[in-house]
Amino acid sequence: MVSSLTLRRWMFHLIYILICIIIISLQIQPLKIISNEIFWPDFIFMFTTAWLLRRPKYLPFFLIISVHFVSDMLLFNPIGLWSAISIIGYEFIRRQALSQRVLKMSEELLLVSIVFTFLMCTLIGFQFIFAINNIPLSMVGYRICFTIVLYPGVVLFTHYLLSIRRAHPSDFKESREG
Amino acid sequence: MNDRKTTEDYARPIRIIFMGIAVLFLFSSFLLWKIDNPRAERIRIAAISKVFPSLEWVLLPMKAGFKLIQKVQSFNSLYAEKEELILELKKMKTWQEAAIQLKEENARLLDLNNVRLNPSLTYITGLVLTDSGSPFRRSLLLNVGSSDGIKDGWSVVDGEGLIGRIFGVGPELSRVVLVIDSSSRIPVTIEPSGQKALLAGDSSLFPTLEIIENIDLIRAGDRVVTSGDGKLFPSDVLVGQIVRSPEAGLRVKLAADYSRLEFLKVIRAPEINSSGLTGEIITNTEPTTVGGAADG
Repeated sequence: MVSSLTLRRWMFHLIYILICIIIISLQIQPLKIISNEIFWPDFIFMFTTAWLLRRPKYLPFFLIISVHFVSDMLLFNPIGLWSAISIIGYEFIRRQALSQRVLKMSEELLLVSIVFTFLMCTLIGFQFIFAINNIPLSMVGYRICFTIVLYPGVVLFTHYLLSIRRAHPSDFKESREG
Repeated sequence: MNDRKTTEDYARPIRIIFMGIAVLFLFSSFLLWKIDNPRAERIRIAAISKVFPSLEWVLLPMKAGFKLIQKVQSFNSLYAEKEELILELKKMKTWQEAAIQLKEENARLLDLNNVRLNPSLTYITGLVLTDSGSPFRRSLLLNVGSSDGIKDGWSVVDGEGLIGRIFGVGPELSRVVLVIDSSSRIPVTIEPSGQKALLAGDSSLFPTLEIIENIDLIRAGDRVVTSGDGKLFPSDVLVGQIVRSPEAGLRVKLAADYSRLEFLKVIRAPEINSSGLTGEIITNTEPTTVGGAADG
């Protein structure tokens, strides 16, 4: 028999995949409402991080990896590079979330901005070493800034619309029974 | 709490091992992509052609929504656009007259010279399916592929100017790397001075010019057309106009309208070019025959 917890987990997985598909297909739309000059912040990163910090056990790493791998393929990025780099950042964030301390919003934002900046720098470093593509640094800067600025919005979205919140002690009780 | 702890003790090393394998796999796929880029891109295009039909159910309604919003946006500027069009029409009338006269003259001259136009320089029109989505890579997917006869390296234009180059062909779709992509380098000629240069994309909408022979001969407003050097591109396809900005130097304002990419034309390049080029390089037989002739 399928327990309610397993069902809920699968629901979470499905919603996560759906959101990522929508983000990717929005990005690859050929018709642009917003001008080409405005760079997309990394919405997939924001959603993944916001979820990981709230429900670290609901996002298994293979799900994250496969979504990132598919997005690498579809967005014509170097295959697998960003997935490999970002999964390390996600695991760091997951460990933070699993520790008992609950982060305040400001602390969370600081953590996310540090991790994202670090990951982007690693990406640039790799691209530089392998001589892939000389991306103007200003664009990377824009991307980091947009991502950090919009992160609270994504948190609000996950909190109120998707009602993904930190687990309460009552949830733990329920999960052990289930 | 205690037995929970012990299961986690077992689970954790296994998790780490799995994760290590996954990261190793991702990294090796990246290395594969780096080492054998054309093959990896072919695999990618093949994978996308498989996945794409199942993505259509999200893409199509979104496209409809985007179109609606664009229409609403264009309603706002309708009046201004109308005024502009009337002005332009007046200008065009005079041009039309000039064009008709030139056409007649041209026909007479062609007749005089017995010129026959190259029949292989024709178009295949394709519909833009998707954008690359990331600001670091500027490319498009077109809905025409190898089954329509598209080949790697062909150039793509919209009504007005050069858009990019085919890079990666699947059976039903092909990828176009735009001239503004930071990996794009295209040989161009600057008219009227006839200077040769390389048009180099840097992800902005105004690509730069590299390797200019004599920079003093170039003025803002000069026309930039493809030169056809390297035989990858047909020559004399309009690219844009030179603009000069105080901080960024010489740049090219592209003639193609990058905000509305919907239908694009792929220029069918003549087949002889590439094969003729390799034939010229491998000239092993020629010296021996010359030598033989000298002996005899």
